Formats: sequence, C-alpha cells, structure tokens
Amino acid sequence: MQLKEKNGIEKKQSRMMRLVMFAIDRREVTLVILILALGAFLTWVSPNFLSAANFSVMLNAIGTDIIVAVPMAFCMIAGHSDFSVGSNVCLSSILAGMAMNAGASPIVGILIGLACGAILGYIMGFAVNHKVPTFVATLGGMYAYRGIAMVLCGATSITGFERSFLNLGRFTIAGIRAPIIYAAIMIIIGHFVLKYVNFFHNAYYIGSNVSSATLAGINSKKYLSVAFTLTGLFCGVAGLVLCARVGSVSVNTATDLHFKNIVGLMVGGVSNHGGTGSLIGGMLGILFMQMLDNALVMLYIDPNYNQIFIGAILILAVALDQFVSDYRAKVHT
Amino acid sequence: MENNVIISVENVAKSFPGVQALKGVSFKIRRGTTHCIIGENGAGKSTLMKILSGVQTATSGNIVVDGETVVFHNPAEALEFGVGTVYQELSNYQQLDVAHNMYCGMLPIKHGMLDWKKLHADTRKVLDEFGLTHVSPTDMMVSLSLGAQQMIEIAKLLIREARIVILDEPTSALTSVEVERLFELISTLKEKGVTVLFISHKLDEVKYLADDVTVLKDGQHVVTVENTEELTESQMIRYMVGRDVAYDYQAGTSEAGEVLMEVENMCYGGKTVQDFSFKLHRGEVIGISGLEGSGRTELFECIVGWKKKTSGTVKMNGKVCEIRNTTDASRCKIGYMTKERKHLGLFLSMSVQENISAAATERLSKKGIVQYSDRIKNANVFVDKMSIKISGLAQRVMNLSGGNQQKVLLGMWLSNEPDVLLIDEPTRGVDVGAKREIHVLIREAVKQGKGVVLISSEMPELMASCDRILVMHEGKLKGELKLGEYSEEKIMSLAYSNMQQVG
Repeated sequence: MQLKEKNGIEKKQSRMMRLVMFAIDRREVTLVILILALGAFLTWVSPNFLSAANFSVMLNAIGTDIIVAVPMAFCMIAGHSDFSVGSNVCLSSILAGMAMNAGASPIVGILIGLACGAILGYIMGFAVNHKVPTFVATLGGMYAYRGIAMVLCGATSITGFERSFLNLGRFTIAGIRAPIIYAAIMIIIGHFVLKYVNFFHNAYYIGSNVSSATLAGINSKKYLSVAFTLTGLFCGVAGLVLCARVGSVSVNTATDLHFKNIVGLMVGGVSNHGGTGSLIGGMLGILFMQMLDNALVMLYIDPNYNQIFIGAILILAVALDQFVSDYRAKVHT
Repeated sequence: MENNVIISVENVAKSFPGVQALKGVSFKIRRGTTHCIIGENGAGKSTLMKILSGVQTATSGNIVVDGETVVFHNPAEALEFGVGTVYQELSNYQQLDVAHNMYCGMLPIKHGMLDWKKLHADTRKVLDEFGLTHVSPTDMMVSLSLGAQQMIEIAKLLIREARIVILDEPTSALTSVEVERLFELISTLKEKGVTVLFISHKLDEVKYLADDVTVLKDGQHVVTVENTEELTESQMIRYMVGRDVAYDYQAGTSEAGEVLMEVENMCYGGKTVQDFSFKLHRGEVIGISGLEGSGRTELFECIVGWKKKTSGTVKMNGKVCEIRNTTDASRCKIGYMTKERKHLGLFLSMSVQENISAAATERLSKKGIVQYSDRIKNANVFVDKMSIKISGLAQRVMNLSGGNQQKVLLGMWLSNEPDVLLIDEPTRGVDVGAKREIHVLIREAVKQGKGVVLISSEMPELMASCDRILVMHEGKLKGELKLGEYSEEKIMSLAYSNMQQVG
C-alpha cells in the first residue's frame, strides 16, 4: 500500500518534471511565450507599452548590449564567461574619444577604438590559455581596464565629436535606429557563423568536454584566443556606437554590461558551463530581461529594485538548469 | 578451526551493466595472517576489495566477519566493524597537516575547544611508534613522501581500531627503501594480531610476505593456498592463466604492407617509458600487453602529444612528424582512443551525431562550412555497421549503455579516417557481442590499409585480435610474440618479467 502511494507520487513528479524539461529543452519557444505574456500584461497595465516610441527606446538600449553579447555567447558556449566586457567598452571608447579630441580624424579614432578593444580581449584569451581561471582573469580585467579608464579620463566626460562620427550611432533606416540595425546584423551573422562555420561550431565540443575536444584534434586554445579577441573587438564596436549615440563617454559607461549580458544569455539557455545553448535563445533571454527592466519602469517601481530582480532571476535560472541536468543524470543511470 | 577464520567470503557475486566482475567467489581468511590476493588485470581483485571495504555492495553472496554476516554500505561502516582500507590512490587531505589527517573526525576536545596540545602529543606518539621520527605532526601531508603518507594512512586505521587492514597495491608508487619499511610495518602489524589483506601485481613481494595466497581469474576463485616452498612464482602464474580461448577476432587475416608508422626511442618521465621503439605496417593490428602501470598508456599519450615526451621521434611513411599536441597528431593522421571514454573521449551531454562527427569536423565540412547532411550520413554508416542501439541520432550519449558509448567513440575515430589508430582498452566494460562488432570493424579498417595498435588488459582479446604482441614491463619493451607463438604463460612471464621458462 505504502509502496503504491510512493509510486503514485513519483509518477506525478515525473510528469511535472517532463513539463519542466520540455520548457528547458525548447528554451526559445518558452521564452517567446514568456515575452508575449509579459508584453500582453504590460499592454494591459499601460497602453503606452505598445507605442513605437517605447519599443524604439527599449530596443535602442539593448542594441549595443547585443553587439557584445553575440561574441560573448561564443565564449560562453565554449565554457568561459567574460566579465571584462563592460570595462573594455568603456576603455576602448575613451581612447578613441581622446584621440579624436586630440585632432585625429574619425577614421583613425575608430581604428584606435577597434584595435584597443581587440587587444584587451586578446589579453583575456591569453591569460585563460595560460591556466588562469576565466573568472579570475576576466574579473581582473574588469577592474584593471576600468582603472586605466579612470586614470586617463578622471571625473570628466569626453564630448564634442564631429558630426560624421556621431552619425554612426544616430542614423536611421526606415525609422529604425542605428543600434538596432547593428544588433540585427550581428544576430544574423552570429547565428550563421555559430551554426555553420566549422571553426566556431567547435565551440560546443570545447564547452562540452575540453579534454575530449583536444584529443579529437580540435585546437581549443586557438579557438579561445580567437573568441576572446573577437569579444574584445566587438566591445570596441559597441563602445564606438554607444559613444556616437550618446555623444559622450565617461568612466561610468557600460558599468554593468557584463552582468546584464551574462544573465540574459543564461536565461536564454546558454549555460555558463558551456556546451549548450543557441544564439537565438541567448538573444531572446536578453530581450526578456530588458522587457522586465522596462516593466519595472512602467509599473513605477523604484529602479533600485531592479538589481534585486536581476540577481534573483540569475540565481533561479542557474539553479533550474543545474536541477534539470542533475535530474537527467540521475534518471538515466 | 572455525575460530581461526576472521573473514569468510561466501559465494560473492557482483555484476555491472554488461559485465560480471565477480561470479560467486568463496574463500576464507585466517586470523592474524597476511593474505595476498593475486590475479590478472580485471580478474576481480579490486571489485572484491571494494565490497570488503564498503565502497560497493555485492549483488549476491555473503561476507562473514567473525561469524557475523555483514553488509557494508560505505567505508565508514566497514571501519566501525574493524575493516580499514588503504587505497591505491591515497585519499587523504593533502592540504592539511599530519595531525588533522590522522585524527580527522575524532579530534580531541577539551571544554568545547580543540585540544591542540593533546592532538600533537598523541600524533607524535603514533608517529614514533611507526618509526616516522622525521615527520612532525604539523607537517603538511603534501610535503611528505608517498611512503610516509601511506604509513600515516595505515596508522589512521589502527587508531580507529581496525582489525583487518586492506592494502590495495601499496608498493606500486614506492621506492625500494620505502617498500622495505612498509614490509617491516606489516610484520609488526601481524605481531599485534592485525590481519592484512594485500593485493599486488608483484609476485616476489607476494612470495616474501604472504602466509596465504588467493588467486582470482575472470571473477572466479581459482585457489587459496598456503605460501609454502612448493608455491613458486611460475606456479602462481600458472594459476592466474590457463583458460580456454573462446574468441576469434580474425587475427592474421589481413596482409601486412609497407611500414606505416615508426616510433623510435620514445621516453617519458624518467622511467615511465624508456627507449620504446616499434614499427607498424599497413594492414596490421599490433597489441601491447603489460601490467597496469607498465607505461603502456603513457606511451600512447606521448605519441599523440597529449603528454610531453622527454625524447623520441614518430615517423609516418618514413617522414618525421613533429607532434607537439593532439592537433598535430590529427594532422599526421594519428588517432588516439583513450580508455576513459567518459572523461577523455565522448561529449556526454551532446547527441550521437555530434559525437560521431567530433574528430572529423573538418572532413565533414566544405570550405569551413559545416555540412549537416554529410554528418548525418556519416553517423548513420557507423550506427548501422556496429548496430549501435539508439533511439535516434539526436539522443544524448550519456543515456547510452557502456557498450554503445564505446561503439560511438570508435565511430568517432574511424570517421576521421586516420592512418594509424591507437586504442587503449578497446572493449572495457563491453559485453561479448559488442566486443565482436568492435573488433570486426577494427579489422575492416586495417584491411583498407590502416594500422592499429591496441592496449588490452584482457589477454584472450589481444591474442584473438592482434597480428603481433609487444610486451611492456616497467616502461621497456620486454619482448615480441608473433601470431602462432601466443600463450598466456609467455605473455605473463614477460609482463611480470619472470625470466624463467614456464610450462
């Protein structure tokens, strides 16, 4: 009798688990449903939500985040989360801005920004390839890069750029603003590259089991070096776009970019352990987090609560992933 | 007489998925003796010890200790009953000091506080008793030699009043001086009435130490005998081998062509691999036999650049290949299938298709673009050939049985079409049917002009599948046997480096 009861409970549990596992496995579908539900709720609460202006503001804000998030996903799928991106965005745009203010042409300024970003990213990859744990290396980068920016720039912000440079972040095509266009291009190219270009698709093998991948002849060090350098390069791109859009840059630029992106990607199914996740899922995760952010504003909730939400969602998302993978391992042994 | 028996093993069996490690073993261990257990790799020694020490539980059968039938669920329970084990790989706290290691879980307490004085005094006393006068209670475990660490582990068991001490290949990592001191310690243990169970590959040690010797083979008990004058080392070898060879994996059915790979003077890590040279021809399967720890795995690891060789060259088709890492090896068309398929081989959370494609991602893409249709076609070929049982190519490899995982791994390596494939334990934990399918595929690859080198601990497998067998002992090439000259006695004599002729 007791056994039967126990079995009954187990059956119920496993049915619920199956639903949870389906939701986790079809992450993209789940997120689209969540995004639509949240959108419907926000429309109901505030008719303002559906306005083109609100959408434009919301997407504009994540445009530059996504430019960085795409190559970050390339690192995360290989098992490495880069915390230095926000500081990299800041430092490379400050250097570019200072060069232009010192009389360099926009072209030269842009090249300096890109080169700086790529070098800062390469340094991270170099450290990781020399056995420094990624968390330590990129946390160190996050502090050091921001520190250099503070030394260079102090408390002032850098402004007064040429019109032609500012246009880079301010043009529109058919009413769509520049950052959104950049982000869309990044997502399309990123998705293709990750899925079809062999070199980058190997990220899944590296993230799933780096020893097996290396034994199988995949050059994981080379991959990491390239992925971190690309992340850095696109930090430079994002820094320039952000600088052009806002018209100024200071040491407070992109202070929590790393965190927002990592949380968004994880919610989107790109595990920080590597080996799983799709770019589309990750981008939907970032969009979802941005909508949540937007919702708090629309509901007139004190912005300070925002951090509580982001932190809690991060922990929940990771706990759920861990729970599901443990469950999977247990069920099949 | 019965009172003389401290442990009685009664019909103990243990099965793992696909393998029966112990098939009903029964024997008795006399109180206060040193009892050695010997047998080939995979004979079931370690499994039996794990059951005695509570790491695993038997599928069926009884362990009777002092007349009481016991089932240990974990090592702590076993120790409570007086059965303590020192494992081959020491499991102490490397970053803690000797005193904490010795009294872990039973640190002396006074007034609710740790009594440091007593802790250090007690530890000092025990260390002196064991002749470890040069060791201080505050020394970090990691700073001690392996021998000293091992003795401390034994001391730790005696503090907890163990009456039976199991030593699993304790001498494999020790220097000869340390071995001598360990043997001294074992004889003092005997004086104290402690029963010692000793597992070893080294027959001279067994001969020297044992009161009784138990031989296991293929999970079965062969014999338990007293260590008398008549029990010679060759007699022990004879007990360990001598089974009917029931396999035929088509050894010698393909023609050896020109020389494909030459390994010259491979050396690694002092004595692990010493000046090892051999040639592999096209169309040939070579076997490498040797005891575990003889350096056979390290030899493979050095060839493909997974471990950094001290010296030595690898030539492919007569040309020297500079191999610094596994990417180089892959470029030279050398593949290496490790024995640890879960950690160093497969991608457990990924699909069957992705696993089979893993080593051949470049071949299965065009101009750097992944060709999913080619990947699926290729994976299907191997799934069909080896009849891998899967629900679909998208199934995760972690959900497959050991045998099917091994087939996926072989498929992964053959997909890359290497010229040379090095395989460490091709059929570990795989049932008889799957073994056959794996070997048939290996032979098929060889018939197409490839070369394969196998390591196996199972001699019947080697003899049934290899065209030549090289025997390795302590990092050196001890001898070569050609097809037709094989016998387990010959291989074992070489592997144990027992130079006298047997049988």
